[in-house]
Amino acid sequence: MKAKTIAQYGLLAALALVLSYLESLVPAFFAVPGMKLGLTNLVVLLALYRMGELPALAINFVRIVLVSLLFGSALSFLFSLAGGLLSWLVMCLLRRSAHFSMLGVSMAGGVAHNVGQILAAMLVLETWQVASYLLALWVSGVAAGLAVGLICHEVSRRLPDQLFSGGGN
Amino acid sequence: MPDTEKRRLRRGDLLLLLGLLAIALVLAVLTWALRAPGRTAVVRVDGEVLASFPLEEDRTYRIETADGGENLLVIEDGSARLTGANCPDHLCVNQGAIRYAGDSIICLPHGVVIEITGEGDALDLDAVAG
Amino acid sequence: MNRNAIRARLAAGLLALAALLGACSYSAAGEPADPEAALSSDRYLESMDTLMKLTAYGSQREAALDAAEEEILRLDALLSTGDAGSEVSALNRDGGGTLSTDTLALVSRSLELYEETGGAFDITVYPLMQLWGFTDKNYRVPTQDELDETLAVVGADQLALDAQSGTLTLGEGQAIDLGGIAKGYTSQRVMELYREAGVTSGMVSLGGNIQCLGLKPDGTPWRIGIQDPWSAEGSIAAVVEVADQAVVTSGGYERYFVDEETGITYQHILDPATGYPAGSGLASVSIVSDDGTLADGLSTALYLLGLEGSCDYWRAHSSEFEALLIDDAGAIYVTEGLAQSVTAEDGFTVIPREG
Repeated sequence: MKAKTIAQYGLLAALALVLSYLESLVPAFFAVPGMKLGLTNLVVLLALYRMGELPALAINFVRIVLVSLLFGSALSFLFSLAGGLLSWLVMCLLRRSAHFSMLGVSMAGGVAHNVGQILAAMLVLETWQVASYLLALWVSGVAAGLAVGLICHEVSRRLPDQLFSGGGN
Repeated sequence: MPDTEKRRLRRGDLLLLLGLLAIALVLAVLTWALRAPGRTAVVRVDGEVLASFPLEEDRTYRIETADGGENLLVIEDGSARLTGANCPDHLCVNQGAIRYAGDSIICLPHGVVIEITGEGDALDLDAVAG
Repeated sequence: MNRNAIRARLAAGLLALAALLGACSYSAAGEPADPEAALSSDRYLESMDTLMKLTAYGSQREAALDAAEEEILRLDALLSTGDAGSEVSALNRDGGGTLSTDTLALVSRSLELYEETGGAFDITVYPLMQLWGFTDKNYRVPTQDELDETLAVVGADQLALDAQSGTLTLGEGQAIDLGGIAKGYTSQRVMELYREAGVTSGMVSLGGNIQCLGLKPDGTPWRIGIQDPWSAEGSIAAVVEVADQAVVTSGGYERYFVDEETGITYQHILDPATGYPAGSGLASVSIVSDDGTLADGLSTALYLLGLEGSCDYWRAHSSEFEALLIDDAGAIYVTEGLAQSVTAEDGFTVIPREG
């Protein structure tokens, strides 16, 4: 792997860590342990638009593993994994369509992230009870997705091409 | 290469947002419609639990607070309400009757809170003592 | 330097900064999170005449459970009246003897409780239990003469304990049974062993004697159901949320027999004063305390004292335990300090600190 690629991933991973630290400051997210707001999606979104789908998947895994090791638990790892994969899938699909801008992609990604978490929670905890949080998580998914999309758009606009050239599709 | 064609908002975005909010609305309606019926009325004064009664048995209970405040709790036909309060605003009495899990009546001047708890709350145990 | 080199350095710098931030929060968070904190292991074993379930969370759980299992079996061998080779059996046979550390602790505690409960908690009722057949399931209703004869040897005041030398002398014809306090003492020991092994979240159920360590890994308290004394197996009268506490329930419904001829029910909690099953008006007593031994001892003592007596006793000792009492009619009473943690579908009455 080229040194430049390593630096690119490193930069994004570092950003993901900072974001997840911020995320961890929000306590007991809706009283389901292990659930996250999804701010680190910003990093995946950025990678998706500037480096491509596979690099975005790669950084997705990196941030999930790193964040769970540092700030999370075995439970949050599973939730993040489910949420992260579903979110990546949805974002890739929407980005391919000309009808959606980064904002729309991010919104869908935010909601998918939380839906993935709830599905994982229902499986792991073996209960339907978690579904009662669906409304709150759905709305926060839209809101977080919007916020992440807006921020990402502004950040991406200001990052020079050279930072990401030589990598991705 | 950054996509220079990217405008801030496209048609799909707006439709997506509306669609997501619509689903949120449906979820909200479902949550409201599937509310759990209440089983028990819990009486709290200044945060401390004073008593708790089953909703299925009609009764009246006089709540007295340390500084002379009085509220009368009436449980009738599976609902709970406050009558005969000597608080200045009587907002608690006007709140009417409550019967669903999570519903509550508050008498702010007296620090009285009546809350309804439901059936599902009792389950999900770690062990049974016996 | 060209711009690419600058950018490469910028990226490296940012990475270092993030690593620094990560390390700061890592140390700021104190202990590195146990990656296995949410994983648990259960251990089942049969001991002290009952089925036990031990649960522990965290990476140290297996070691903790091993230690706990070993200690339970050790204490059972020491205290079991059904085992002729146990220390207690030897004491009963020989009319006394020198006590080992645990037995000494238990006997001392028992005598303290005997004083404090006005004789309600009495370890010398064993001959009475044997008379009624509760010890070997050969149930029978004794005659008044038999009762009078046996009552003569019941009374912990007839025991002589020399704490210095650790020797216990039984009165003529006496026999002791530490069963009313043994499980509570054992669960307390298990909690200590859990802590020593590095476990911060766990629970044991020793045949219904519950004791919990810390909170559950998700930060919520343990939810313990209190059995409904009046209905079929499994029905719950109330739920208590606890952390770092023991919950012990005693009730006549746990062991009883019905006399075929008269149809009268005789339950196993006997009044040391009369020799008859306690008819105090209470169907079950649940004690919540951070002292497992106390919780176990008081659960039978308060059952004997009845509602009024229990309220008085609690008011005099309210810093040591909380209680949930269910009377013969099924009404639930909860002491003030516990009221916040109890949910009961049929409601309950709070016992206030000031009578």
